[in-house]
Amino acid sequence: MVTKEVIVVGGSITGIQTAIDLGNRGYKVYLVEASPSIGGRMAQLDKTFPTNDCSICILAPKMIEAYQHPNVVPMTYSEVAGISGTVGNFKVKVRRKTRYVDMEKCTGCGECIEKCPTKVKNEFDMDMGMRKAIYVPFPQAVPRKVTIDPVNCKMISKGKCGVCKKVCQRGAIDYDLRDEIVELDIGAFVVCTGFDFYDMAKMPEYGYGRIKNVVTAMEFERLLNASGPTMGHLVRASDHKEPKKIAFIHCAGSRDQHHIKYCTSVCCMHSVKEAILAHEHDAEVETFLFYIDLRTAGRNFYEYLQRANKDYGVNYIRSKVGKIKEDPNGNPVVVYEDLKAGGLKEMTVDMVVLAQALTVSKGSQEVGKTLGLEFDSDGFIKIPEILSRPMDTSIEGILACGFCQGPMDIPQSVAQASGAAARVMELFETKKA
Amino acid sequence: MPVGPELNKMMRQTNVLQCLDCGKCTATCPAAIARHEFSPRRVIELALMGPYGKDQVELDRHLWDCLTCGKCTNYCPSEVSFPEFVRMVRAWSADKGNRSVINHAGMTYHVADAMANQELEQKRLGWVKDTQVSDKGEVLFFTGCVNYFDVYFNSLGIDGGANILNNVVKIMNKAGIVPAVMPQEVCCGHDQIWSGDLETFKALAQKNIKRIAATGAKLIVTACPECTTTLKNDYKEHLGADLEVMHISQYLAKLIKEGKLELKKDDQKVTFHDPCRLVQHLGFVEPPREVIRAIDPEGFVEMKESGKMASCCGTTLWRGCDALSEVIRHDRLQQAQDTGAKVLLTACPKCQIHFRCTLSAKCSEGDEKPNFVVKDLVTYVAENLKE
Repeated sequence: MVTKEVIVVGGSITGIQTAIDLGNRGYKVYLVEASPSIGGRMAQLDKTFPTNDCSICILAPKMIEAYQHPNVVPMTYSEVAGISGTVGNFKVKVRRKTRYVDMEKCTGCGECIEKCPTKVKNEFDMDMGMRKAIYVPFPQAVPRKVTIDPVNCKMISKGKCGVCKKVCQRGAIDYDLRDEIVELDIGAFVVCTGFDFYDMAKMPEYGYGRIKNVVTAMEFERLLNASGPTMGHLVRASDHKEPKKIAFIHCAGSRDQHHIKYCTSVCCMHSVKEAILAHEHDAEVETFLFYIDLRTAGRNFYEYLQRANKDYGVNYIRSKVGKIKEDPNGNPVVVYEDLKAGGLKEMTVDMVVLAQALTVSKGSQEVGKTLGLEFDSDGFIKIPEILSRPMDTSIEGILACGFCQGPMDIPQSVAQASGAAARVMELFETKKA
Repeated sequence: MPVGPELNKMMRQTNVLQCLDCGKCTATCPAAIARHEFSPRRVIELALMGPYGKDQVELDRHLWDCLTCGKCTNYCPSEVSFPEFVRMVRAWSADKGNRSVINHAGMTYHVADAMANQELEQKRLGWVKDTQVSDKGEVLFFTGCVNYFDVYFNSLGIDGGANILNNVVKIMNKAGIVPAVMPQEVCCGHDQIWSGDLETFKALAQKNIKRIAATGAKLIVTACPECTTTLKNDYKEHLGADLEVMHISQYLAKLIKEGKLELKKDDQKVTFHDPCRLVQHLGFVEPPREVIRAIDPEGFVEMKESGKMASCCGTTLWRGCDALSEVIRHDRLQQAQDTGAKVLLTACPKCQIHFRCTLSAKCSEGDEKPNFVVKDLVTYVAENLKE
């Protein structure tokens, strides 16, 4: 017998799409997400290319649809802990990490958040803003329930505090709750665990961490966003002034034999997008994109690139920046070779945005190892027959889609998500017991 | 400049064909800071276009602007071995008489030629003073030519070769090691191979390999990073000799880790200049720092650009040193000054000489008088040995 239930790991746009497709067809889906909310990386983005659609406006309805779907069992703040069995009959252990909060009782009112005395860096805002030790990761989070971060909570780590429990009128806080392991019988498995960021400290020439006004693309994205750490007010870190001249550095770590050897595929486009958005925030801004090649291969991508230059005045400079210095006023100074006229050039700007290389996520590697999947030479989940079975991993009945199997953008990931869902349906509807 | 298949082969071997034409090399190149017309990318571009007419002249000129420090390779997205490419082209064009200006009347080259081609009886161990050496042993101290440099540069008030060499042995003796030394050691051939003179290099290397074998040494320690890369990498590549070689900074770090050296503590502010062969060619960032921190855990400060970010000292191979080389050194010395350090340490005798020279010449008007001294790492350690 084939157990016609599925686990989807990773509550990103990819996982959400897979869950909705399978749920609509009538299959039961367990949607497992490691963080307190579904949404993934797309929830962090301000806008999407090449249409400049508001990212969360596209995503949020899908998040809610998946979460409330009668056939989807959302398992947020949970991790896959083990697997046995074969295609059609897997037994999977899922660790449901405790939030120290009774999910039935919590209304997400936020009283506890307001009163919590412990402030920590907000990872959703790329550590730029602050959140409390009891928190909802972002305003549109699904589910809208609080979570206690046990590392930073003084009650959990030191046994001293208890404010949240006192202020919660519903009695939802329970410090004695513990992680639970649940066992699920399923027939197929879909991995959608996405990407992480390459550590910019490994490229000291770009001064990230040392020069305040050098930020990564995702940090810039959060600065542009209305719910970001500056409430969408584009300012630089050193003096909170609005940047008037911004340099974008492509391939910060990607296409580099010393760092990430492959092209991470989305960075040319998101750099163009972020430059356009900078112009929309401030009509007087000047933007310069330093690139090796402008790789904008996708429907309407090249047109987007041209429009950025024609309509907004985005400047493209073909040269790879060698190093970034800092002047006494905290302005980054970009050092590059003028490939046309020759000679070293220096450009003083107000802010630098690094198109940081993207790597396979730590979560993908952990899940892959737990499941016994093979990885390719760059650490992505290996797809043995990419042409004929583009979502099938090395184990029958386990599929992988989105960035965990290689660099790709949102539409490609969503297409793969629907593809993976279709493969699962095919398996369930044709596989003989 | 070679042409056709010969050039193609060189370009393939050194990854030049993978060049993305992005210019990151130039933007990190110490030589390009001073020599505005020099661009490693442009040299590759010219080589790829084919060397004809005017390009040929431009290429030949820039061939010697490269300091072969290797910083570009460490930052190149395609890992183009530009210094290797330059070395190959130099070797090719050396036959055609393409050589650059040699400084110091070519003294070091004459000495090396004499060592390579004649059997002059050297008095190479004159520096041994109150220390114990042997002619055989497990550990060989390959001294290099620093004591010959003393003849020319003593007037600069350098931390002299004789002093450095004797200090190495003094430290080793303290750790209970009596190193072998070779009375008829010859120059390692570093400057020859990087100048494109393969013939002299091979003659020198063959003599050394034979004499090293006679000492029975299992490990060779050198106090000069140029000797280290040459013995370790080039003797292997060109003569198939597989030698176990350590730079003194690595060796000292090892002795300290093993608890074989008792050191005094010092809290003077010190900083460190990374020699190009040590950091860019061999990739040793940590060993010298481990040594310094063992003596001075509090006072050690990094320059603004350190490790692989550091520029080289501005001159290699005792060739082509001019006012523009001084520009590179001034930048480095200014960074040292900015740290507020009282001592600028380095681990290459040539870096030390170059810095001392620039400081003593006071090249530009109105320079602040530096408040630090330049010293070799070995001397610093010897000064801080517990009695």
